[in-house]
Amino acid sequence: MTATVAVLGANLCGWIAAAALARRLPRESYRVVVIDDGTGGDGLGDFAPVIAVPPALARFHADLGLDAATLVRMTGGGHALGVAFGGWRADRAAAFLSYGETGAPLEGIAFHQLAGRLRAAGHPVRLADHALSAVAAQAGRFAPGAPLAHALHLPVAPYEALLRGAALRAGAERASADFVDAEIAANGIVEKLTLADGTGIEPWLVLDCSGTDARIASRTSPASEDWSSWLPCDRTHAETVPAQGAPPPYTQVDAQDTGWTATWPLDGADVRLTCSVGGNGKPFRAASRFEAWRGNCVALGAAAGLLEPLHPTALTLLLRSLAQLIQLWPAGPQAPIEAAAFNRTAAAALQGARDFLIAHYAVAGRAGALWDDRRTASLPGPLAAKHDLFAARGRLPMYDDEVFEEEDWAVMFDAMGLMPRRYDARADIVPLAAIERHLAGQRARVIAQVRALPPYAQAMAALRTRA
Amino acid sequence: MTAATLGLTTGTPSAARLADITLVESEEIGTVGVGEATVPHIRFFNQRLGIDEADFVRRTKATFKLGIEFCDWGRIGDSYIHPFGDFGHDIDGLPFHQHWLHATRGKPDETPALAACSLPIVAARAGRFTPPLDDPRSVGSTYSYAYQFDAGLYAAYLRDYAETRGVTRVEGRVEHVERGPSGIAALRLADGQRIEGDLFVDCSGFRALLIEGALKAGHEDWAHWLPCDAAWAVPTANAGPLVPYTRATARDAGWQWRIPLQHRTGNGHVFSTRFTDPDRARAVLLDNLEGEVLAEPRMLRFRTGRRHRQWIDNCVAIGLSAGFLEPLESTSIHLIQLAIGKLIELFPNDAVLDPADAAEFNRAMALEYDRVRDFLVLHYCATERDDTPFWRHMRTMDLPPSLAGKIAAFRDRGIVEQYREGMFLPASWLAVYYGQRIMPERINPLVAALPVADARARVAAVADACRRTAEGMPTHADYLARIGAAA
Repeated sequence: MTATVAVLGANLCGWIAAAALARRLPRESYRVVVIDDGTGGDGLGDFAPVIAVPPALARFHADLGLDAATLVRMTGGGHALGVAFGGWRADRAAAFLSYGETGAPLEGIAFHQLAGRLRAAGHPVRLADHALSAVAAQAGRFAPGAPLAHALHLPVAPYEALLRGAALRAGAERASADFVDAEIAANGIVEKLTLADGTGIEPWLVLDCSGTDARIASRTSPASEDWSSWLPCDRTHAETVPAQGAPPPYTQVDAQDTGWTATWPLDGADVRLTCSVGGNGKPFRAASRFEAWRGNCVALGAAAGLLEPLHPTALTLLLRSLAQLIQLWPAGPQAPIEAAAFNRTAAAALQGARDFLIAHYAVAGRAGALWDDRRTASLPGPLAAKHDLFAARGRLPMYDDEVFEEEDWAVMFDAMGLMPRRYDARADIVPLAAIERHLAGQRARVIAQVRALPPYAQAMAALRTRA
Repeated sequence: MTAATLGLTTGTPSAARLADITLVESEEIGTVGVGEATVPHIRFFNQRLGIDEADFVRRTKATFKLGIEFCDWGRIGDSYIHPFGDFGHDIDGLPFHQHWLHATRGKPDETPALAACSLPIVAARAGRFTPPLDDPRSVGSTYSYAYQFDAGLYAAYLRDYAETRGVTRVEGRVEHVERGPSGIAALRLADGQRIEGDLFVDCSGFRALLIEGALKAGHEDWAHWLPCDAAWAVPTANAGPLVPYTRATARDAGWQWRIPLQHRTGNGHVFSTRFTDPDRARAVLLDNLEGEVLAEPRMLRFRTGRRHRQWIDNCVAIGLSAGFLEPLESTSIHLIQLAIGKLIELFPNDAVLDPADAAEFNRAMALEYDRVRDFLVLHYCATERDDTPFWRHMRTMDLPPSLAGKIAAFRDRGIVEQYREGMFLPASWLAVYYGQRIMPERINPLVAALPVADARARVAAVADACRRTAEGMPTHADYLARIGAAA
């Protein structure tokens, strides 16, 4: 007998889940059926008609036979070497958080600590000047084949279509009609899904990808935690505007009085998303479901938790959850051990991503009612420890299952304007001149590498003609 | 700035360039010079100090170590090795041990043991050693190694190292600790000397003169989970070939170590005075030795647990003053070196003490001790032994909740919890689970759905590669001779 894995949500989240699972589940034992939930969203928060796809998805795409160039060409998307922040700092200076490495350590001492020593000696150092991706972004240069860590900006509809095709090729099926209702037994097990054409599906496992509505998980696992006291933005408004000139190969995120505006350049247009406290736009709320997996229903994407799309965390978290689900694949409808292990790591990952966002607001120096309020708001415990230790000496305690790495944190804090009071004492052991040489050599190598890259517009033109 | 360090030299060398360091040590207070087994992290510590391995091995009479053999733990007669290395390799992102369990289905006798899929175990059993290769595609890269050496000689080695790099050693016994606004102001020695410092490192062992004596850190006692509180130690002459592993044999009320060095073998019997008395424990040790006894057995007493805080004000406790865990998994020196590493990473600049530094040190070290504790407790609770009151107690005691959850997840379906900080990786947990007869009731259904023949072929290929690679290694004694160490 084949067991049915019902994916609720014929959207980006649902097709990613279906593609990942259909590749891994033996077809003689499982069918993967994707059901339209009728909400019309993308299952990931539905913020904008474009989504930032982090570098971590490259492997997943490759497994499905999709390379980055194909994705960008077929969807009319673009590349992002990082995020440029405008107006966040007290001095309103621009700052850049790249997807690649920033600088290199010397004698085991982290780059940002070397920079701390130089700054204390009176030399101004901009971390981004030593990040290949950041310098390439500022120079407007990029080549798809170059060893540059980057994200993609992909329009949701065509991206979803490509993943749908990949999922169907891998053996996933599309249900005959939209979802109408679920029968849930007293013990919390989803026993039957009814579709609009009267078809009944008895699911062995349900993956709820129906977005914040969580049409099944909201019934099987209703409790959730409201995070809006830490992340108060509750409205988003997206618009697509025609682009002027060559698009830049990065995301621009400008702070506003009541939130921020992201600009995601595509091929020929920009998508602008404003995320704010109050104001016009679609309402949302930062939150997390306590138990994403309960009984035979696993909530994924926005059904499991929602964070404002300041960084491309939604897809990173989704991919991690799918990898965990395969590790913990259940043997039956009741799998409390597996669910507990899944929920522990999923919650830790989501909290790590949440804290990374909260940290931006906690340290950004911008003046204004919202910003002044955020700087003084209390922080979740683990984030407070991280913030205090970084502020003291640029060190970062790291916790289990975090999605951002130590260097991301260091560069982000630095970008927002938080300068450690002191640097790692070990940096004093290395002669100042040796540190200066190390940084200068690195900077020269970065510049030489960037010079060898074509202008981004030229790279995009070449990409289009490869079709 | 000035840092005063109290106690053994082990705690000091790598801070040498960060500060002026004074070491206060008393010749009157003896140090315990037993054979010491270590874990692979010591190599990174030595490398950071720029220590030449061959020179170090010669001068500390060291041998190489691929793991620990545990005898009589799960059941009397059982033997397994906890190796410094992996069992096979993940297949399509799913752990090898699950594939191995699948392969054993129906025909367990025709499938190689899991231990046969670990190169360091196969090499250790064959008495062979060579350092691992760098090539990640080769089975020759799937392990690591540590050393077994004379702790007294290692301390002397590091003392030389530290003194040639500017550490000042002061002979004397601390009589009085002078308090000051930032914690400790100075140490007054019996001969009247006064040692001032900005930072004090307490390496005074169980006495914990500064962290407890002066600063009252408080102690979290773990005797209810780890009741062993004493040990007899005795050296013997080497008997038989020099094996590249430590042995830990369970006894009626504790366990016995055997650590082979170049020139002798270190032996000891760790026991619980709640379940046996020192005379009987001494007899158990002397009755179970292989070589000629070279000295009178000496007894040590200890208290398992850790300080509530290991860094208070301007005082950092390192080593036994910070906490104690019995040497079942050779963690003592690792915990010292880990604390040194943390201290260096958090070293106060310009004598500025920031509470955030101490808070991070305390968080990280407490987590490390707690996770090592759980791993040690696993050895005692994962047993079928009920032949003595000691084992009946260990088998049925309440476990730390953090450990009970881990065991339940493994027993149910072979889930091994992974963590970011903490020295024992999933392979270590697997070695003890399987070695002590905790078998998962189920495996991942996605592994179970694969053809059994494929799983068998994969397991056989890994076991074959381990066997052939081990056969190509020199014997442990030959390798020692090759690097100029007598064996």
